[in-house]
Amino acid sequence: MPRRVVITGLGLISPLGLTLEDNWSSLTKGVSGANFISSFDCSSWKIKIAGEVKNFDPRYLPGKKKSVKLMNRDSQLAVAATSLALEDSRLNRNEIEPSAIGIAFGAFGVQYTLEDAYIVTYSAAGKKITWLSESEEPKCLNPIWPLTILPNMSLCHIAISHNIQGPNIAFCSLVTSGAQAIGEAFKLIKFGEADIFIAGGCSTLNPSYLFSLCSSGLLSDEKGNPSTACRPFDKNRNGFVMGEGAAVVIIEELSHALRRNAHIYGEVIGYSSTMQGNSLLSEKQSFETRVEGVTACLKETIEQAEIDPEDIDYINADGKATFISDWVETEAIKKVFGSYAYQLSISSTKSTMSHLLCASAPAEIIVGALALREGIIPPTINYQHPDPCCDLDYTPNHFKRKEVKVVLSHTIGLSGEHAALILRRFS
Amino acid sequence: MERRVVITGMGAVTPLGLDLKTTWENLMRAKSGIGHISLFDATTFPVQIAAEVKDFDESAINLPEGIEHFTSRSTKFCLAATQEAKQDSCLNLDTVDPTMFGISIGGNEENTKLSNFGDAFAEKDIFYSLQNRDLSYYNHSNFLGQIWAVRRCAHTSSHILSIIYNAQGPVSTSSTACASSAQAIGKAMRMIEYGDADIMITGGCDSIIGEFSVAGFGLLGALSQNNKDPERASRPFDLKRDGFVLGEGAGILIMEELGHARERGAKIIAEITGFGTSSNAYRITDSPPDGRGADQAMRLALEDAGLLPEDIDYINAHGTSTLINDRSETQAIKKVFGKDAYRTPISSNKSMLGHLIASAGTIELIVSVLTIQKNIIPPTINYEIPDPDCDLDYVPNEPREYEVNSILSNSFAFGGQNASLVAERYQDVDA
Repeated sequence: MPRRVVITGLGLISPLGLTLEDNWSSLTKGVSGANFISSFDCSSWKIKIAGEVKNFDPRYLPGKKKSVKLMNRDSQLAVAATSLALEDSRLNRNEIEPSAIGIAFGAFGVQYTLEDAYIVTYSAAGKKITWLSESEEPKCLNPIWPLTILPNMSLCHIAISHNIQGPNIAFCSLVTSGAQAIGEAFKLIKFGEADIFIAGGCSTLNPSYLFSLCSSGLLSDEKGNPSTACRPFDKNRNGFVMGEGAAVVIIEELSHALRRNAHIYGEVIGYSSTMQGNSLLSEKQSFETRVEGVTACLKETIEQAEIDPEDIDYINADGKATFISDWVETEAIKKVFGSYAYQLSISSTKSTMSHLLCASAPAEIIVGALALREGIIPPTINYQHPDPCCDLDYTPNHFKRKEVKVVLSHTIGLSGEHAALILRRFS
Repeated sequence: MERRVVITGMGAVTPLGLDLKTTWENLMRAKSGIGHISLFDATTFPVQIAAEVKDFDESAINLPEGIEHFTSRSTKFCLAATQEAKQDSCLNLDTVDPTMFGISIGGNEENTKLSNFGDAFAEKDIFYSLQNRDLSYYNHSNFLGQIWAVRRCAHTSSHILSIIYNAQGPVSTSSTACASSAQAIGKAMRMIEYGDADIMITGGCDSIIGEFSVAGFGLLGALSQNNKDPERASRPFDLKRDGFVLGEGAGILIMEELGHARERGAKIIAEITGFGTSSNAYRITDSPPDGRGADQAMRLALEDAGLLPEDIDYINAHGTSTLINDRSETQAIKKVFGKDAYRTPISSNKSMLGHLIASAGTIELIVSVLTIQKNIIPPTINYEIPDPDCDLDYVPNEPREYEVNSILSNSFAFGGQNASLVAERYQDVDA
């Protein structure tokens, strides 16, 4: 007998802030978290803008200081966001066994830079590193370092810092990892594997990854004002802004949540993850195939949720502000929703929060949950020149008050991966 | 109505063979796939041994146009193993609904070898940048300029498989160190059980025998340094064990919903009946000495399968040949099996294959399924001096004929993630 699954806790750390309140405030006011990159020197690069998390202090992380030293920034953000989500859920840890809580997490990949890899490889081959002074032992030559960079480490640190011993699943499927983490946790709870999961994703600004993405032409090369760089659905859109952050939800079986009087943000009623890519990064894929892929995923998710397309009030779009992707997404929405597409409220919160890669889908699901609660649709900012190919209501520049009963959160991966999740207000 | 998950095809590329038949024959001959490293110059390294796949012709793999650039050695292993599995399954892609066909692979990023760094950047550039903390040299890097991070990542194998086989259902990658492919297989099992797919290509691949990983794992003190006698370096549960030996390979299973398999007249190799995972929440390096955490994964897998410990005929151990794992795994088995721990045969394929990292879970599951088919258990070789802390029956040195109907296969990862799988001889009665 499939069970009902709800979200009972939210934790979000992003370029918009270190708390849910700060994030929501900036989202609704249309304040951007993008800035000129300060955490490393990229003055000679084409791309100089990213969404950095500001003022994050790892000294306040739970657990032993020794453990914290072993954490990369993305693990630190993940552990901190989990603290926020657990606190928000008011789960009483004394009333639940550590082995009854699961973790489902998405991470991007091995967290090293090419320089680190080179230093380790070079010194392993017995060659002396002469260009650094004795006192500057590179972090990457520490014996524990190779472990600290593995993609499953953020999940492991969440388990260690918060003493979580239950089932765990990790995803490393690039951008859709975070959506898959929450979606699979939903399925596992629905079908009785566990009663409660910590689910989400994290990402950090790894210089090597950032540079790689920037040479792909997917990132905005805005030179002037960082806040205006990400312009989803705008005629002059030219790419997304990469950001760092961690987003975690507590996802729970309904009666388990009711029994402990948990606050319920919404019920997860549908999730689907599909693939429609016939070349890496969808370079050679035809427009029609891309639209087909997105359409199929959206239709399947709606079908699973057993609702009509017109039941959806708000779509938190993928809206990554590349020329093709926003166009494809708009076409697919029209195919799925018909004329109702023009009555839908849509917005891309990447315009303010930036693209948090593996944390983006979880962050956007959190935005959806807040929209349900507050009856407010956060805006797509930087919308100045309408594009005739993208003519839907993207909630331009200002938030909108609207009763939201059902929200759909949508993710389009970089190479044809798709995921969508539907959250409905719980009564 | 419960959906049952069966295996209808298997394929593998391992240090003991380029196809399953050869690998099995070598396992039966108690051969070791471990030797001196040839994939890079390891003469200055403290660790000079590994389990390499021999005579693999990378150019012989059929790739769709434009994909060659993105396929690493491990992806090629994966493709070869999938080819074998597909042939084994007699699957006709024309009759498969692509939206109900998914991929779930355990993988790893491939490390760049020192000899390839020249593709990434000129050595003088990196020296300059490290001295001056200046990242401008990235602008000269072709490698980075070709979206290295995204095109050669763990997910690439899954992606390429979905393109070649037109799988439009759920496609995901697990990158959880040593538990990667076991988790990937567990995920695939759930996707079929929950109705998200009728057929999945699942398993894993890995190939990190390069300076970076050998140096990295070596720094941790996790690798055996028995360079003088490579074939005897991997000695799980033996008193003189001194670490694991890095290996490479790929293992793929075609997993299907039972009705779907029957409808197309597929031969059913075995049934996957149980999957369990847990986190140690202990340390990122070692596991708790009392076996806590690992026992939970095994128990959950057994419960999922609806079996009692006494129903298991063979335990395929994680058995890495490190001091810590072998001891804590033994404790965990005793916790779960009680007295039955002493009468259940256990063996570690890593004694012959080495530690295949992300592909360990899948290859060891495949070997375990073969033990069901053949009723013979492959040995733990190099077992010479018993360790009082490891006093169970590890099927030492010689294969053993034994009626095997149910198996339990363990994979315990660095960082404390545990995964266990149960597979059984397929019974032609409705559960």
